[in-house]
This record gives sequence, structure tokens and C-alpha cells, in this order.
Amino acid sequence: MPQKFVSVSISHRRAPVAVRERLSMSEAEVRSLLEQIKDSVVREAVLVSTCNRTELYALPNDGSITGDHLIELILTAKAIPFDEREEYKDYFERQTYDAAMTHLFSVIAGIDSQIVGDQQIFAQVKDAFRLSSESGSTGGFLTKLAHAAFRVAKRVISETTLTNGAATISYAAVEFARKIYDDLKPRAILVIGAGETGELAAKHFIERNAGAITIANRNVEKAREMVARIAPEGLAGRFTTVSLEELGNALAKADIIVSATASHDYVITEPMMRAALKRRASKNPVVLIDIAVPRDIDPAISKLSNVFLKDIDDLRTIVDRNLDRRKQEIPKAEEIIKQELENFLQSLSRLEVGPTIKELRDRFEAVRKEELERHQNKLDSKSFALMEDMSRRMMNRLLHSPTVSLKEPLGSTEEMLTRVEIVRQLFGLDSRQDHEPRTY
Amino acid sequence: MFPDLCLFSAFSMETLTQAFQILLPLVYAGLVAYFGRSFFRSGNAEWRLKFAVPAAYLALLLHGIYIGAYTALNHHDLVATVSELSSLIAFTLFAVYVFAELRPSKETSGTGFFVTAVSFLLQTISSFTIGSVTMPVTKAILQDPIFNAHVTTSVFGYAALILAAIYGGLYLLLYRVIQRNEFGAIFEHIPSLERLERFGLRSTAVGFFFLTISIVLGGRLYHTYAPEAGVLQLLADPKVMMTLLVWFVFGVTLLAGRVMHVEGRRLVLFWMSGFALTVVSMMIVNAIGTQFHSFL
Repeated sequence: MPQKFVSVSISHRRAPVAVRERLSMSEAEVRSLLEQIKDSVVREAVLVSTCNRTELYALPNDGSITGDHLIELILTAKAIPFDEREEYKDYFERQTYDAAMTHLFSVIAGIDSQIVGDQQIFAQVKDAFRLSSESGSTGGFLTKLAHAAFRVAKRVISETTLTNGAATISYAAVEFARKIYDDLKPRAILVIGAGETGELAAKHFIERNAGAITIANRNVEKAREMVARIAPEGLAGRFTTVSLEELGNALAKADIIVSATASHDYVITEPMMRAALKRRASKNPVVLIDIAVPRDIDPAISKLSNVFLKDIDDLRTIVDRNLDRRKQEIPKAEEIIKQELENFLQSLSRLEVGPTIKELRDRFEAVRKEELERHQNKLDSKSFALMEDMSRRMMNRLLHSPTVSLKEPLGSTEEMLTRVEIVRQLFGLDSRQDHEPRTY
Repeated sequence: MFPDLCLFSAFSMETLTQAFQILLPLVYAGLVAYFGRSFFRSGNAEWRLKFAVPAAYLALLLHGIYIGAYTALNHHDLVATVSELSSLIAFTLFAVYVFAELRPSKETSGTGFFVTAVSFLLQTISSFTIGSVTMPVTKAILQDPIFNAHVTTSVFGYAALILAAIYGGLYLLLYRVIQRNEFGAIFEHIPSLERLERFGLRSTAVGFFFLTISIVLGGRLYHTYAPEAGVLQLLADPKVMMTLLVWFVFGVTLLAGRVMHVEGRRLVLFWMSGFALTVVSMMIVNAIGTQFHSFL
């Protein structure tokens, strides 16, 4: 039954990165764990594992399986020593039924992400459901839940601005450049520095369909390694690497320059830029973005004509503004989650009621027939017909009240599902489910 | 026999045009509100796209019907008075915007708000004044299709010039906002500098094309209606001088942008100063005389 649905989650909200790292799972590990617990512990399960969270959502085989059992399974799968397990367990959040569903919806909508409105999580949750499906761990319930979750994510993207605007400095750098140049394809881009920030900026430029990208670094070999990491297949020809000694030539050709080195001195000085502008064939403006601390680009360059220079503080203004606005959108996203959860639970309850009534009638009919057959030989045909008729009427009258009660949309969806659950338990209708999962 | 038809004929052309004179400012006000909402409030781009193009087409259709009805009623296009011209400019400005930006780029950037605001203003002025302004003299030339084409193409040319000026204004505004690190609604919703420059140049090209046709048609009309007047008299006419000046500014802008590859702020400042010059000349010309041309 859906009431048994449970989730266990370890995420950036409670756990430090060292703990999250140890519990992060590869695709192979996820498959292995799902295959291991399928049937023996859970009827259906999905496991979401990213750098910021590891979460298991499951519909256990029976009510005795709790969140703590599932946490134990994750810790065992990651070979966490027994003496450390108690500490790990404290970092986990455990939720059941609608709270677990709400949590999944919040995760996929991006409101539970470290950077609110992160869109990557949508693809990551989708991948998790794909993996679960491929491992045979999704049945009717999780398939339906997945569709509801995807609907939440799509509505949040289309009906709110939760995912709008750059939320990281490197992305803001690219978005700023796009405010000057709409189309990055014909533009010459120069990224100075082959470190993590430079690499992120280069990746964002690639995502935005940038054309030629030059990577300049003191150690050219490191720049080449970076190109090998980030260049999309078949597009390595778009990348050039140069050393900082050749920076003057690269500056003269570039339309957009992003600098992210660890240098303590200016990498681009005012005379260097002035000389580069003189040699420049194009009359387009030059966009310089300095995302290094300490700064790489001499601020005096901003006084030169046809130049836009922004540093990390300027970009932080953009990021902070976007993050503030994203946070303001959270109530709208929560409202969407609430609506979709209610819709989901209602559709579940509708799907629960019909089969339960049918099973109840079948059970009564079977008992009636069994008893009639037992007495068939003791009665003449006229009396048997009378008994047959009387028992049917009696059965119908006895079933009328529970049937009406089940069908009536009284109380909340949860109350409806509880009524269904009580009827199933009272009349022993649960036995079938262990062998034959209901399809939704 | 046909009560609906009888009802329709009772609903005269005059009533129809009067109804449209009330309706059109409301339609443009609705568009200003719609584009303004997109501009000032961060929202869903898809939602904006969904309604922007159909709403724009509907507004153009309604305005087109009005122009048709007005022309049928008065036996000339909306070219005879300042009030009529205001309405025609409101229509052409919005039409040039729809076909130059909204339809091809499939997005409603901040420009829509500014364009519809200008159209709203012009149409409101027209609707309020059109009833009280009468043509001083009804001339035969007003019935001439070449004359109507001449004025209509000029209006299209000027509308494109206004649009280019809107793009130029937005360009300079965004430029200033970027330099001052004011990353608010303007930074967020106005299209990129590159796109504004491209749209501005495109509008300039459209304006240059229409004005060229208008000048050629004007030459033809000049030969027909004032054959005795000399070339000097023609060139001395304030409206001819102004049109040639505007045409020259458009031409030089195109030459600078397309051939000499002058780009960015320098080019925008050039066409904006051309626009300012045109506005000043227009005011002087209108102050000098109300006739079409001095030689007519």
C-alpha cells in the first residue's frame, strides 16, 4: 500500500561533504543495490545519488520494513564500518508516505538544492528513475509517482522563475558576455587560467554554443589537458591553447576574455590591453571578465574606449540578485508541489477503491458459493434455489454499506486511503498483493 | 427579409470608425499592459510567446479594419491631417516591429513594451483629435493612388525611423546600465547590445527602402501636379528638404554599418543624432506650414 512508502535521505542540509562523498554511489553501485533489495526487502525502489545527496525511495514489502532498515542497507552497500554507522545514521532524514512524496517533489523542483533552482537535479532524478526501471525496481506505483514528479519539475520551470538567471559566478560571467554578444558562435573567446573556475567558465561557453575558444595558461600542457577534458566529441578543433607569453596576440584577437588565474599580479595590464586594441582588426567591443581573486585584470582598462570590464564583485551582484529572486519563488513552487501531491494522492485513492470493492465482493462471493456447495446435496432444487437467492441478497445487503463508504469522497485523500486499508485488513484482502502487485 | 443584414447596414461605416476610434487606444493600452508585464515581471518566456504573436496580429487586424473603414468613408487614406497620420504611424510602427522583430525572433523582449507605448500614445492622440480636425481643402490629389502610396510609404519610412530610434535608445540605456553595474529589470529584459544594434540596422534598412520609394513616387507626383515649378522650388520645399535629410541619414547609417563596418555605440550614436536632427527639422517644418508641399 502507498502508506508504506518511505524515503531515507542524506544531503547537504545535514551532512558534511566528507560524509556525502562516502555515501555517493556510482551507476553500477545503484544497480547492484536495487537488484539486491528488490523482492527481498522492497516491492519498488528508486535511488538518487548525486554529489549533494544520496536518497532511497521505496515501497517496502511489508510494514515491518522501516527507514532504518533501508539506511542499514545503504551503509552496508558502501561498506561503512559498524562502529561508524551510528554517526552516519544521525545525518539521515527519514520520511514516510506523503512527506516522502513531498520531499521527492521538492528535490526534483530544485528547492531542496544547495543552489536553489538548480536544474541539473531534474535530469539526475530522471536518470535515477531510468536506472530503477532498467533494474526492474519500478512498478505501477513508482512509475506513477515519477510522472507526478516530472510534472512538478516542468510546472516549476514554466510557471515560476525559480530556475531563471545565473546562480554561479562562472555562469554569470557567460550570461554577462551574452548581454553584449547575443550569438557566441562567431565570437573569439579567450579563457585565461586552466584551473577549476576557468574550466567551468569554458564549459558554460561550450553549452552556450561558443565558437572558437582559446585557453591561455602559464603551463600550456595543463591547458591542453583541460581541452581534452572539456572539448565535446569532434569539436576539439575549435580549441587553441597558448602560453601566457603569447597573451598579447590572443588579446588582440579576442572578443570575450575571461581571466581566472591564481596570479598575484595583473595578468592583463592597461598598456597590454591598449596595445591589443590598437592591433585589433574588429571594431566590436571587447568584453573582459575578471573572476580571479586577487584580480587578474588592471581596473584602469575600464577607462579604455570600446571595452566592458567586470570583476567578481560585479558578477556577484548579478548572482545575489538572482538567488534572492529564486528564493522569493519558493512559495510558488511549494504551492505547485501541494497541488500535484493532492492530485497524485487522489488518483491513487481512486485507483485503490475500485479494485478493493471488487476483491471484497469476490471474497464474499467465494465464501457464499463454498457454503452453498457444501449444502447442495442436502437440499432439493427448490430449497437450494431459495438458499441461493437468500444468500445473494444477504451478501449484497451486507456489502452495501462498506461499498458506499469506500466510494464516498469523504475526508481527505489520506483518510480515504486509510478506509481502504482498514477494509483490506479486516477482510484479509492483502494476501493477494504479496504475489501480484496491483498495476496503476 | 434579412434582419441581420438590415441591422448591419444600420450600423453605418461612420459608427464603425467611431467605435474603432474608442477601441484602438484600448487595444494598444492592453498591449502596453501585456508587454509591460513581461518586461517588469520575471515570468515564463513560453507563456509570453504563446500570446504575444496572436495578440499582435489581432491588434494589426483591428487597426487594418479601421484604416479600411476610414478610407472607404472619407475616400482617402489616413494621410491628410496630423491626426490621421498619427494613427497611420501608430499602425505602421507596430507593424514594422511585429514583422522586423517579434515574428522572426519569436520572443517578446523589452522592445515590445516601448513600441506599443509609442503606438498607444499616437493612436490616443489621433482618436481624441481626429473628430475635431478637418481637412482645410479637399484636393483632387487626395484621390490619386500614387499620392496615397507616396504618403503611406513615407509613413512606413518614418515609422521605421522611430523604431530604429527606440532600438538606439534601448541600446544606449543598456550600455549605461552595464557601465554602472545596475543589473536590474532593464539589464535582465532588454535584449543584448548586439541584437539591438542588428534590429536597429534592420529597421534603418526598411526605412531607407520605403523612403526611397516615397521619394521616387513624390518625383512622379511633382511632374504631374506642379510641372511648371522648377527643381529649386522643389528642393526649397521644407517637407522635401526634411525627407531628403532623413533619407540621407538612413543612407549614411546603412553605409557606415554595412559597408564601413562601423559598429557598436559609435554607430548607434550616429543614427540617434540623425533621429534627433529629424525630429527638430520636423518641428520646424510643421511650424512653417500645414500644407503638403509649398508647390502644390
